[in-house]
Amino acid sequence: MVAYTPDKIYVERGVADSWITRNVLRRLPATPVEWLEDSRTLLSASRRAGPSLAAAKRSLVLARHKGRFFKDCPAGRSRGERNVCCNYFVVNYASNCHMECSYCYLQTHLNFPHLVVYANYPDLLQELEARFESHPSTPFRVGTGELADSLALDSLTRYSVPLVEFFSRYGNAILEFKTKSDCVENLMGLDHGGRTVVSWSINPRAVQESDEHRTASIERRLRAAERCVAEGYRVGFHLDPMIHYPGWQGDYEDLVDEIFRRLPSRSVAWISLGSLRLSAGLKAFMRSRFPRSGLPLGELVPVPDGKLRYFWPIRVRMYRSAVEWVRARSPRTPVYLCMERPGVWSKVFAQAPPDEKRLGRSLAVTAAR
Amino acid sequence: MSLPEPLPALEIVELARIDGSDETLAITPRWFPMDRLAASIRCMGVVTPLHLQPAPAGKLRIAMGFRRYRAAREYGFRKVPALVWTRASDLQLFDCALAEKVTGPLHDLERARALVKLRAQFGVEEESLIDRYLPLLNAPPSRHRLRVLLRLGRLDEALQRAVHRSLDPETAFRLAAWRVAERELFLGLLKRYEPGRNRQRELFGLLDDLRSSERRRGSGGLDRVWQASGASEADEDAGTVRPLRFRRILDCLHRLRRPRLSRHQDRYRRLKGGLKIPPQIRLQVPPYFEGDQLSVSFSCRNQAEFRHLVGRLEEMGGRAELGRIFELL
Repeated sequence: MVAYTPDKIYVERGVADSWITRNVLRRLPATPVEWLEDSRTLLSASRRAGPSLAAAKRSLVLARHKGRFFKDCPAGRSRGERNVCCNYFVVNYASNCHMECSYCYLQTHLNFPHLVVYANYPDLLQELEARFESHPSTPFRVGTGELADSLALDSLTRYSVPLVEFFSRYGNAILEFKTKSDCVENLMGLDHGGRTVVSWSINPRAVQESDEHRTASIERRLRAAERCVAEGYRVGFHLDPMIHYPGWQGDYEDLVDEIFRRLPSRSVAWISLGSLRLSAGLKAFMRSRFPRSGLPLGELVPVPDGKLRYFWPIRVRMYRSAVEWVRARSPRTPVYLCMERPGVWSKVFAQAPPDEKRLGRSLAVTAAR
Repeated sequence: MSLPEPLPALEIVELARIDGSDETLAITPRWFPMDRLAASIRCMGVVTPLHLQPAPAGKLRIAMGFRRYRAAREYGFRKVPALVWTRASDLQLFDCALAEKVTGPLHDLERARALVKLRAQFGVEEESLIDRYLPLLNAPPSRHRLRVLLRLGRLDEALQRAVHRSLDPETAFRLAAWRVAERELFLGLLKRYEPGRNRQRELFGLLDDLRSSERRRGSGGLDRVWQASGASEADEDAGTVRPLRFRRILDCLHRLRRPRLSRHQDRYRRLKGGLKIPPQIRLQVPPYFEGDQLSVSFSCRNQAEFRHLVGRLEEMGGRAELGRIFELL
């Protein structure tokens, strides 16, 4: 991964004393800092100035999160007729990402183009504590990788440390870090109690090289996974977005093969599958920002959740193949689909889609095994 | 925006003294239609004075009134009323021209041209364009809007003309990256079939994707797409009315762009045909076959017809074709 070094750091005065803020400022002593009363003033300025996305991400904002950190995964919003939800929860500890995946939805999803880290992590932990303690029999799977990469900034912020330690105290919650980085240094030596899963979004090397710019190479991601397994963490892999291109079968099978050759199957908590999905706006944005990417040229059709996806027989074929490859190497590793409709689940697994709560529960239980 | 001199006296100026080729201060492109203005001038002559500036060799150049000048010439007038400014700078006169322009309807191409000139000819900073000139031009003061207008103003004349006719500016920007012959093919289609904005975008999206795929394969460009898809043949089919021909062109391109979906659709049509469904019964698959349910509806006028249709539905329910239709979902 290309390490992130911002050109400028904006700090809200309200988080000046935060441990996260101190970590960042200590690691970037030469970077200019501007103090703000409220980072929202930057929003109106950036609307007016309209910096390019890449330029805006050169500024790091350390701010206080004003709303709730803990939310249902957005996939749950289109559950039922549209998509099967796996009962996942997200914590938005940061928003935006310095890596440049051509297909990343954040490019058109966020209205604030800067990279923001919410430094008031005690509020986050307090919120989680209240939730976990008021629902002691509910198993929670909580991910930090929805609006940002979970670990890409960890060498600056060390955000992972209090999170891992916090989750180790709760028997009903699993924390998932989802990343395309190899920043696992801070996870070494932590008392994780088996409650943290470190997972990687992963694609064949050809896709990583063509469309996942500034991310860690597949080799480095797998090496980082090996380090985590050696520390007793369970790991997960998200073959998402799967890309349909000439030769995809061979490349994805090799990738699955490599995962299970290098890592003991009992250490793999889950594998999720998803396929390329783009909003119409994102497709246009990709065409202008990444004109060399062939991804928007796949056989994509509009689906009821408003996105463009591969025509369903293509998706089903890709998923079925991946399920077979995983099962051939590790029959007990849970495999599930991300943001797919019930009909596709049925075709891939040759059975009715699972009850959502049971699916979430079984993934949480397997991860903690 | 005030001028450094009092209003000059009204003069009657010989058209021959005016250098109409100097368009330094022109805002409206020369090719913009001026039928109504021309008709008025033909009838009444030039009533509103031109604003002029001294130019080398005793000539005068136009600051405001380019179209009035051209119409006057076209209809054989020899003299026009004018105000000749001697001390005002080009930028001051341009500002005045803008202030006059915005009292009437302004096309985005005029806004764009004005901004390009302010930036390139007069060296006005972007900040000033946003803060001062965009509001003057009745446009929101944002950098994004400025960028869009500057981009529009820098398009070549053929594309600007197409935008003036009906081309979506975003499409025009992307079209600017195409080769000239490819652009001409697309603009020719717009001229022939005059599709609305949505159809325009659909056509462009298909051609752009197919063209990019061809180029990635290194096997040619749009011409090959046009021929291989059958769109060329559909376009030349003079026996078919224009809207149908356009529909066929889109179908040909869709088939090439989404071959699996097209085969699926063909199969659905064949199976549906095999069911011999009476017109009162409507069978509908979800768009793009993305959904788990087939929709069936029927309408009837009386109980006998109702019973008849229910019988037909029951009969359809046992047909193998129906089972295969469900497999398409």
